[in-house]
Amino acid sequence: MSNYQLSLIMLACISVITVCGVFSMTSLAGMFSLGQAAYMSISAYLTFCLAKYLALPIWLTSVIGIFASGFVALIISLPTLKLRRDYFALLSVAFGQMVSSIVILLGDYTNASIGFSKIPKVEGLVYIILGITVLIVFMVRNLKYSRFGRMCIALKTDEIAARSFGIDVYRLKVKIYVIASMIAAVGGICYGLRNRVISPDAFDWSLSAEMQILLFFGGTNSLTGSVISAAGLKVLPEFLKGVKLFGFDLQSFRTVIYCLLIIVVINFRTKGIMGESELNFAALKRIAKRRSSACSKGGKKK
Amino acid sequence: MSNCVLKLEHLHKSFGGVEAVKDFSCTVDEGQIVAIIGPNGAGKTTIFNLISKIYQPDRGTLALGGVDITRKSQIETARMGVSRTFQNTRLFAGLNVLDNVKVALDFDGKYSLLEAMFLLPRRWKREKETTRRAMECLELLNLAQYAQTRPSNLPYGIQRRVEIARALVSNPKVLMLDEPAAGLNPEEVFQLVDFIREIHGKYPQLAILVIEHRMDLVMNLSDYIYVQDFGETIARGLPADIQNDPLVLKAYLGEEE
Repeated sequence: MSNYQLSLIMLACISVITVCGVFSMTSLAGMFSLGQAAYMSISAYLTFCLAKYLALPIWLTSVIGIFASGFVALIISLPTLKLRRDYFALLSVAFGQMVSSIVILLGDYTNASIGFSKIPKVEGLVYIILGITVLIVFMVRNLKYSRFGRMCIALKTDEIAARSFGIDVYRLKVKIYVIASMIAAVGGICYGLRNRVISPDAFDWSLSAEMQILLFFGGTNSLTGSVISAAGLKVLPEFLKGVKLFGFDLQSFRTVIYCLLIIVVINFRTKGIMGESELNFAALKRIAKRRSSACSKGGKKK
Repeated sequence: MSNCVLKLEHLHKSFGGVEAVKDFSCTVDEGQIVAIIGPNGAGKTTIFNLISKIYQPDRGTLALGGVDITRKSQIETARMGVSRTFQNTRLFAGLNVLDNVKVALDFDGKYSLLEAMFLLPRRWKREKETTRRAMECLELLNLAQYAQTRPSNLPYGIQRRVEIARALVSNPKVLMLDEPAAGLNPEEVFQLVDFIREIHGKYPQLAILVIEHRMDLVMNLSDYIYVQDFGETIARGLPADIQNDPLVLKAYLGEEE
């Protein structure tokens, strides 16, 4: 495969990783955040700066970066998750902006807006990222089908009812928020390794918003739907490259096309393309069965 | 005399200037069905919310099985064995019936987040145990055939039962039913009375506290009745006494002009 194709695969994978993080937070526990890119930023900067200035191996600094993000998430979530959902979403935007400005303020180390590019090259990166993606999708899937997943869906629907069944809503939310932020952190490191340069602009609120959009597009409660839309919609603009329509370069209109697609989906399928259904072996079997029975019926008619 | 499970003493709760509950005392024994009746706005649901700690009482004490729970949080109280249903069913729409029942056991699921995410052996074992207990409860209440259905696809009467099953699965000490007959047709009410009787037979230790409007249901079902009006207890006693109490009739039917 060409380098271009490999880099597209990595792009899709990173998008899947980050959307998985947002899935566990928004779809399961109903926390709407527009600041998840900040955790990508924290972990990426920490990982690559530590690797450069302290000459530590990259795998070690990655672990530090991920856990540091988790720690920051814990500290941020303790006060903010006591708030109502809308205030929490507002504060998450503020947090994202705060992290961006801290990165710029620490310009001596992070090279501010020009971007930090002293990122080591990793051999066989595409396999590593593919492996991490599979692992994270697997983990989030298991989370959904565990007692934590059930409790999250319960508290998302009705917090008072959830509490009256002994579910510690606040602690559970904090836990899920930390996990989601650590997944975002993994995504941030992968992003840095792929692009070989990171800048505060890359991790601003529009990236966080994009994650949410991808999630809602795929289906608010469907992990497979989110994964498919995360990979598909992220790569889509690349296929628009060089395509011309009425003399306009579609690439430059990609935001418009994005938004139109989303408006159409949100209007006609309010719960996203997949809604609440998951694509798994049972569902595939069901579809196959329906099709074969439809075929046999058609055959009889003839 | 049998053991007292729930003891409420001199409970007070006001919202701004409105005294919703004034000096409410009550005891519920093991295996007893106690009803709280009264017209709209009498403070019945407030009493339930005080017992399950959605509200904290302004004054008064609550004890569960001899343990003081006045200052316990809603979560702690639920974990100690106070379980309830709601006036408008509050089933979790995103979960099917089986998961709705399982979720009531999940706070005590005994496996960690990491074990859940990596599918470690303990997760399988505990999950199987939870499923078994939930299915047992559903079978006991003849609801097993709905296990895989979403609650929104079920008739209201069945939803009520599922909600009761969800409240029962964790083997609570006290089961509180908040207007279980609201929104049901006469036939469903009839079935509900049988259903509560059935539960009473199958869980002999369980104390049941019912809020209800409908006199017929209450008279048939309960061992003891408290009548509330404007936050005050205007009568208490056995069903037969309550039926003929002039104060109760006044509250329910209005005064003769």
